Amino acid sequence: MSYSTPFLAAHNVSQVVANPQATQTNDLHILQDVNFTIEAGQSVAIVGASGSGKTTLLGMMAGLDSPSHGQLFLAHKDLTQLGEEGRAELRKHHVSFIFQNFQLLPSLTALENIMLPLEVKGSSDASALAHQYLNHVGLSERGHHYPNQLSGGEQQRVAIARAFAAQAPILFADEPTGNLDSETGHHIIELLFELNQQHQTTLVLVTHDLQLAQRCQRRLSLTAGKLTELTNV
Amino acid sequence: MFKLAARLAWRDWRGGELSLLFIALVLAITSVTSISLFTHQVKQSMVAQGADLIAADLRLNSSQPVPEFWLSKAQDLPLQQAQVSQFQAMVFADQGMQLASIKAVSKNHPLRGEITVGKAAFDLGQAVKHGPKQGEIWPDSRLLASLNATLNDTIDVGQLSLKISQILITEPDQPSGFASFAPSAMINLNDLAATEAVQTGSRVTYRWLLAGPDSALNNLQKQITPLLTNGQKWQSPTDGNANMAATLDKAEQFLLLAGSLAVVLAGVALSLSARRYSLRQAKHVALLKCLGLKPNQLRLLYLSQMILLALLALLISLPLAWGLYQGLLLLVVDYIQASSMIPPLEPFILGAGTGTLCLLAFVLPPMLALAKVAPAQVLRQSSSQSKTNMGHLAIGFSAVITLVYWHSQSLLISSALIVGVVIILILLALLANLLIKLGNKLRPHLGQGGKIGLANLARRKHQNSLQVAIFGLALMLLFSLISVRTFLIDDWQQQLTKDTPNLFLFNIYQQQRESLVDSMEQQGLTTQALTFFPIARARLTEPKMHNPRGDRELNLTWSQNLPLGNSISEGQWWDTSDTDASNSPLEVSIEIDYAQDMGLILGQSLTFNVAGTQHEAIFSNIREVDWSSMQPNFFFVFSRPLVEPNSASYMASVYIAPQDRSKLGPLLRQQPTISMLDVDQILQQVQRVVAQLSLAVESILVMVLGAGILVLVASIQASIDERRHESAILRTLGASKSLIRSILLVEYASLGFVSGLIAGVSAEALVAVLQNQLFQMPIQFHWPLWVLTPFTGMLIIGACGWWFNRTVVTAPPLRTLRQT
Repeated sequence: MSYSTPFLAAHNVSQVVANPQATQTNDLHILQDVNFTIEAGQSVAIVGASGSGKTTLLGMMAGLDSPSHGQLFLAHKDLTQLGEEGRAELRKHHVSFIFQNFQLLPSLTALENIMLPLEVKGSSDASALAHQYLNHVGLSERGHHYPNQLSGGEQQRVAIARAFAAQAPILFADEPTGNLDSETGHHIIELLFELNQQHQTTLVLVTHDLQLAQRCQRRLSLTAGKLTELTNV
Repeated sequence: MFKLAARLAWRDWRGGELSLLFIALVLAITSVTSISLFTHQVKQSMVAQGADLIAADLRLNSSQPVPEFWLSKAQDLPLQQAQVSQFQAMVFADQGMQLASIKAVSKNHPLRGEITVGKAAFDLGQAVKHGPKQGEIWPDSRLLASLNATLNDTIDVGQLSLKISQILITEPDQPSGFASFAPSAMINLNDLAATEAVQTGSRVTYRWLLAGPDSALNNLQKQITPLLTNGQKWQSPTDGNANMAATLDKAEQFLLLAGSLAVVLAGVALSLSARRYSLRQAKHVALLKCLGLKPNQLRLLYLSQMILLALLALLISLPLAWGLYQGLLLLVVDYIQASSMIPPLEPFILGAGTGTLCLLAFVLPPMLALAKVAPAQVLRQSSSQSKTNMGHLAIGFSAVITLVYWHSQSLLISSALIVGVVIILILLALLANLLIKLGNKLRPHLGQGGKIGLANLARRKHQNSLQVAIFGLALMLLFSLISVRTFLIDDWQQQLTKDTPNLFLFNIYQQQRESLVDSMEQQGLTTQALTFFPIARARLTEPKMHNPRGDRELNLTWSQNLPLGNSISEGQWWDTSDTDASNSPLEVSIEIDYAQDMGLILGQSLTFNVAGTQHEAIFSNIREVDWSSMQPNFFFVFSRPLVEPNSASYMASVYIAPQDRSKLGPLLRQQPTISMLDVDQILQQVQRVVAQLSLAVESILVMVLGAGILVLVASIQASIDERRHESAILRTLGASKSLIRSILLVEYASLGFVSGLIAGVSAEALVAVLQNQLFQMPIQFHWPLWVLTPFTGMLIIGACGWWFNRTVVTAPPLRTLRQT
């Protein structure tokens, strides 16, 4: 199947917010004329210092936020032409997430957290699939534990299981090892890339960890709101 | 979507997220339903007690026999009915004769209440549900004493000899007017014709007694009322007794007020819990949006959850309310007659409606607004903070107005409560802000816990001002209700002190006054409180009155001093030094309602006909009279005697203790011309009602207290997440558990002190308005309230804060920090 629109892309995307300091009159330019194109199946890392706008860009690429200017494409659809309902529909079928702070619902067990995206999709075998992914991440014994009964590494493994159980073609990961120690972070990265390999998912990963970024096929650097492609790290 | 909503709701329920919201909802429905059920029952019971006083649910008093076709109409409906014919006749016994009031009663009399009969005069007696059989007569103790007769003797009424089979001690429809103070006897209506005592032109009072369902009574009343003639008048249970009516009226106002307060408090608790729940749900919603749920799906999801919650709350609350109501009934079983086991539907509709409206107004708006949460919030670390939504506040406020009005059906209660609450909330928030600033100045003089505690208060100044306003509001409403309950019960009990007169003596002439006192002393009866009032009957002849009330003869008296319990509302009481001067103009003091009804103007010259003589008097002052005091009260009081002292008749009132009642028989024998009106039964009835209402008021107060405590808990819970997070940070920085405990204690105790102080002052203002406007009572100040409330607030809120925040101290800091 061929598409006239790109799979995942940004065209002259800018994000401007009003300066929170009353004394300052100039607006803050979070992103300035950002352009990129990502093909299906690629793994891409967006690197940059804290406050460089990485997470803002990730949110926009996933349709969680809208840019001030420019065009964004997700799964061949122009996000800027879609309303909130349309973007939600797109996310339901094409996107899954891994967050720095895990974002597991505290009132749900590990298994229920994995079932959640499947239930939202209306899947009839949510429980079986969730069990299967819980096994994949090596937590089959911890399915009935609540997030506060799990370590940080375990919580992130549950979050990874939830992301892959959704079986979405695009995975956005926001600093997936940011809240973990280096050894746990290393295991998590191994798991993430292993599953990504198996599922042939398009992976967009935001990180300031250059070692992690090197595992991706492409690396984009964001500095002061401007994006550049890195050829050598 | 409904399935997903149910699953998520169950998971939130299991995690305790929905508990407080659910408890607040259950409490709102339960308290409103049970208060309404109880109020309904109290009202029914009051009506039943009133019905005992008139021996029926409805009575027609008539100067002519009740037409046959009216009787058939009542029979068709069907209603229970009985008839009474009352007239005066001379009765004769072997050793005497006496003018007596004879009451001929039909088979079913009394329809309500019981007759007490005994074997001797002034006996304690036993209750029976019927009148005398044919051939029998039941004389009352006074008649028995004046005839010098005993049980089984014969009394002749007209042409018929009747055997004394019982002594009449009390009867449910005992006349309470001063005009009917002759000794009385009860006979069977079927004997009336044979006595031949009633002839054409005889003055007979006919009473048609009816009992049955309200709908049938209303139906009959609607059909008969247009046919009534001048001498026919309906009497309902509440028309009978001014004292009872006033007490009932105040009690009903209190119960309505208490119910409305429960609604307001439950609304505040629900609103706070919903706010907390929606804040905690914000991250859930952001995540669900990331997973692809659309805003409309989220709205549907939360709407479904709320419907489920409402259904569950109704399922639990309505039976709980019924159980609670049964428990309350058990408490007051000695006082309240349970009228029926079938509960009325209205309280359940009111409760369910209140719950639904509370949910729609307080819970649903913040839940539906969750759909607007930006999905990008999942990418941010900060915890969600919600700003006060003015739209939601407006919806909640409108709902409170609707609910209070629906519940109280009183514009006065609704507007007083709503305006009061708004003004007080604003004042509370402003004052709290000021007091927190002042508290800041105390910081250098405190220990470490105190310093950090007060610093926390100052840092969250706006949030704490709101919390103080809510604490203050709850405390104010509770303090007000306690004060209202106290002054109401005090007022009721003051009306009926132990020595309230229960016996009125009439037809006492000047020369008999001393011999009456002597006879009473001989019998060992106390004469200290014996007060004599000269009385005469008078009719206002000039100006001519077109009002039928103005054409009637009324009792009057004359006195140099303002009668006890009366007060002058306009004009001046006469100068006592001049009253004996025969050349000074005659002055008259008139009761306020009568003066207003008749359109009489102060200073006007009025002419009265007293025993055939015209007297002209200047209307010099208007008097307010407490008709519920059980003291002799008069419409007209004159400045000097209107009849010659030797021909004046007096009345006296006195309290006779139960153990002295047997001495009344011999007293009457010594003073045979004196008539007696025994109001002991009416007094006892009123005392029973007061006891019953006091208990009802206290029971309701406990329920409203429950609602108030829930508001406090909801308010504490609203800020618990933030406190838990701060405590975790402080502990990681090395603060000990005891330091954190003292910080929390200082914070909550200070909040409690400030709230209590403001609540005490506001409660005083609210109670003053309620006393003056709602209960028509003089304003009283309660200085202990000003001193006690700050410390009570400190204690209650300090204790609640410490108890509900105990997990803040004990939860491992790492776990807390991980959760945020």
